[in-house]
Amino acid sequence: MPLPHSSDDDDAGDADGTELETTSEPVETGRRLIAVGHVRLGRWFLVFALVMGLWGGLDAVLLRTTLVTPTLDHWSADVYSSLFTTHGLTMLFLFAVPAIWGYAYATVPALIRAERTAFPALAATAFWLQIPAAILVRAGTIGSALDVAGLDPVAIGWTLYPPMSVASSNPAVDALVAGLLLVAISTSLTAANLVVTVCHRRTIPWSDVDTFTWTVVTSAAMAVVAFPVLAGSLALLLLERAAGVGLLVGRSGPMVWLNLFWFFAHPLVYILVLPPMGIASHVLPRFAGRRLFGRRSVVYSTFAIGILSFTVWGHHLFMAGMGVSVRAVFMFVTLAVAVPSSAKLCTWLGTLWGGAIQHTAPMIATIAAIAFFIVGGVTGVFLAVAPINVLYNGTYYVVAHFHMMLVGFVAFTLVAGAYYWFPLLTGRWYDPTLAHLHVWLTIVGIIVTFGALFVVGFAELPRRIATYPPAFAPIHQLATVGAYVIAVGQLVFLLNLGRSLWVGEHAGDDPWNLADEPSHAREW
Amino acid sequence: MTTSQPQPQSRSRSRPQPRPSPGGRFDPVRIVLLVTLVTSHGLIRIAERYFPEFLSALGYGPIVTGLLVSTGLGVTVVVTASATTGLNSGDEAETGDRNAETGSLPAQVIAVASVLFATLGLFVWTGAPTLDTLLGTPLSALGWLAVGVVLLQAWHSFGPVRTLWPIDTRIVGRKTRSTRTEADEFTPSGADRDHDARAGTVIGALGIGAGALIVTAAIAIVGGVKTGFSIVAATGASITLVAAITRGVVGDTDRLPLVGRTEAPSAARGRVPDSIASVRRAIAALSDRRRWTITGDALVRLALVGSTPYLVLLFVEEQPLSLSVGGRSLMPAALFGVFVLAEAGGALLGAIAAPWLVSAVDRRWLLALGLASVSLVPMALVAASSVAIVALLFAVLGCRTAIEPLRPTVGPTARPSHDVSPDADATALGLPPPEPLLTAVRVALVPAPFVGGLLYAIHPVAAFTVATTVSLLGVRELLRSFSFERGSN
Repeated sequence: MPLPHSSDDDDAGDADGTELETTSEPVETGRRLIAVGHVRLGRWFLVFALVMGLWGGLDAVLLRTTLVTPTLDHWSADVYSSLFTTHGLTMLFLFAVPAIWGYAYATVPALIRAERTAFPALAATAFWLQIPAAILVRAGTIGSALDVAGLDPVAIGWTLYPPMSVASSNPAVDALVAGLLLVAISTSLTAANLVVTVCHRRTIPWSDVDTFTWTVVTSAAMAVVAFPVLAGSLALLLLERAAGVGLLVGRSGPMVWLNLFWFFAHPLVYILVLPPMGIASHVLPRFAGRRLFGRRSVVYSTFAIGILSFTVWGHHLFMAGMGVSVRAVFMFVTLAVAVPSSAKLCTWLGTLWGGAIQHTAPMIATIAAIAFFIVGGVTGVFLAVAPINVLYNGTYYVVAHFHMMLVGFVAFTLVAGAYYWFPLLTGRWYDPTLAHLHVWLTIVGIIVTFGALFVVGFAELPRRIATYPPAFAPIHQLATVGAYVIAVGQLVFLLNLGRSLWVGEHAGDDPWNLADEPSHAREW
Repeated sequence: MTTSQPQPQSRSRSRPQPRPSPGGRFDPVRIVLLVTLVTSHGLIRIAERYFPEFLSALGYGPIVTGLLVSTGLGVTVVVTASATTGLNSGDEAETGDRNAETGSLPAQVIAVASVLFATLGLFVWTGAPTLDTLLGTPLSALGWLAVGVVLLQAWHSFGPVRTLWPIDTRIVGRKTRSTRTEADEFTPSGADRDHDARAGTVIGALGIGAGALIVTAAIAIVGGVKTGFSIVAATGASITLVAAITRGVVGDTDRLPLVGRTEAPSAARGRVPDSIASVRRAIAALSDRRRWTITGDALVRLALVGSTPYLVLLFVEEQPLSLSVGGRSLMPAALFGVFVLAEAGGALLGAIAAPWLVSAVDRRWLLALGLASVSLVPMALVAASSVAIVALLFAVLGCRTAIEPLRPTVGPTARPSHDVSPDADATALGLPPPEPLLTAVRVALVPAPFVGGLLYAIHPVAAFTVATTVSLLGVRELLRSFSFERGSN
């Protein structure tokens, strides 16, 4: 029997381990902030992610606006550089990662029939760490807006490559590094909590664990390994900036950073991709009228991706003076990731094949995400090939590829999850027409924006530069038009969210009629 | 992995779906559609206002501007005439009924297509200076701008909100009774035609005001017309694309009665356009007074259509004015957006005051004085030297909406009042002219911008002086039709 659910679940207590909240005694504010149920914590993560996503999205809109003209008519190159720095950092660390943890906290304990997470207080602490982290990461922007002397927007790129990151005299760089350190600590705590929760508080056998939970636990395990590497790297960078220890400067210093950073950052991509893959596998069968095709291969491919992702960082260094044999190894390992990814794709297509597909907003978003996954995946395979990588690594092709994956696939499955679990998270229904509008605006916007960037990428236009030859202006303008459309789409989502919270119809305990469905219905 | 086809589950029943919001004035989807369409209207119109200055920044003079604007008007006349010649009979109700019978699918397709053409048009404007370099075409920036002008005429001919204010400085596709717009439907009493027209003015003015604010901000921030125009056009392309998608997603559902039924061209296919002979017959059939009224109003409109495009050139290049606000200085190009904002404000005031004025003041006096005021504005603008006076004059120009219900040639939304008295003067002020004559007026408007451009090239004062002169001649014609006996109304 499914666990009871309503929007007030976490206030009631039993569904999400909020025994501390069930007391009738007034609790102190500090306890309220820590003693929180997992569904509510999930909501907090999601609201935080939404706010930061809007901020990072605003960076993107401004970034695209600066590229309307090929020359620097008004904005300086530093403004452009700071926008793409903060956009990347915000979207990756302050939007995508918290959003994934938000869904995980909201659903995974129920999916594995756990009353609560393993360390609820730790989980809440990890959440609260993100607030100062976000302030520190965005200190340059905030300081610049408030006209704080000496604080300028950070313009060293989201990869923080030395020597720029070491040489910059902007104190906002120190704040940024400290903020990312907090993010690393927060994420490590969250990930550890999720891994322990699934392993030790699960009351169902492993064989009954659903595909979304498998992706979450794999992703969390990867984060437990990867984020401490980031933390160590950042500590090293801080040390270098403060004391000049000489590890990240000189001839070999930048290579040390490159290896450390990408050993973390490429798995990060899969930490971000795996749970969305789980969402796709979770949502698709609901509206295709059939079971997930090849469930076992979905689980095994998740493991395969998780393990392989730690072996492919070298393809980011193809341009950094790598030997031919080492290049070949990284090339083939990177290409190997395509195999489990393709397996997942086959399971999705197999699930859709012959299904009674219902065109709900989560279903359309999932199908669109799969389409974007194919485009992003195929273009990624080309980047794994060393000679092609050498040609396109520094171009907009890479920008288009990873945005197709991160916006087209990751963000879109998060949208699918948002609509699918909307009744769980809010207790209310959304407006379906507005939801369709949001989804279609985002689909068209993504196609226009990143399609245009693929075009300039194929023409080998260098990325990360504020100016470009005038011949490319119309395509950049087209990309900007698409970005604006995406932005309007998100405003429609906000409208729908606000309206639904205000006057939306109550969804009930089992909004999708999943009570008598097999294992995947446990979150309701 | 098994290769066998998985069997559909037995429980593949439909999942419950979230129910759409109940319709109504504050239906969120309706509001989104309305906002995107009205913002599109504002951005398109404001881009058209700045278009001459953009051309100037690219090195093209007022004659080229006039040629392009006239080309746009000509395309609209031809397209709308060939698509809606069913109106030849002058029986709108009949035509509207026919159009209503053409089904919703073509109407939706036409609406979405017209908005998409506008998207393309604005995008072509954005990229016009460099499209040749990219595509290897020999069109030049001017050629691409002309392509953009032509594409944008789809918006003016068939766009869902084409009849929003201002309609006297453009040629727009006719709106039949069944061709209701989103703006009209948003009004509480959609059946009231006067109310509809006023709502169209108010919403149109709000859209233009929003566009004016956006363009002012854009130019003030980037510091140049060329970049500012590109940003506004790109924003316009984005918003129109959003509007097209919204219109497509919404469809013609019961939930959304606001979605206009754009008339299907197939309904009028095969009709011959108005011939010179039919125009002559229509003129001959008119009484002298009515003919004078129509001619007078047409001349005022001719002057406006011929001079309005050059206002931006006047205040950015010939008589540049600037304004300091809170320590920041607005450059002349940005300030022109403020002037357009003042015009939109005047239009709002005029629309609000119109019912009271029409009922409280002698209509003939109202029309004559109103048109005379509008006539004097072009010359006054040339003479004005302070920001406040120019803004005031623009506001006066916008206030012409107060007399719009009385003007016989101002497009399809000029409807007779319910209390039209049967005497000739009142009839002349209330009823729209016969369709052939209206078509003739539209055709006559086509070369006006080109002539205006020629005059402006000779000297800006010439263009605006001629505009005022022609307009005053129109007022003179109008006055011939009024007897002004004491006590008459």
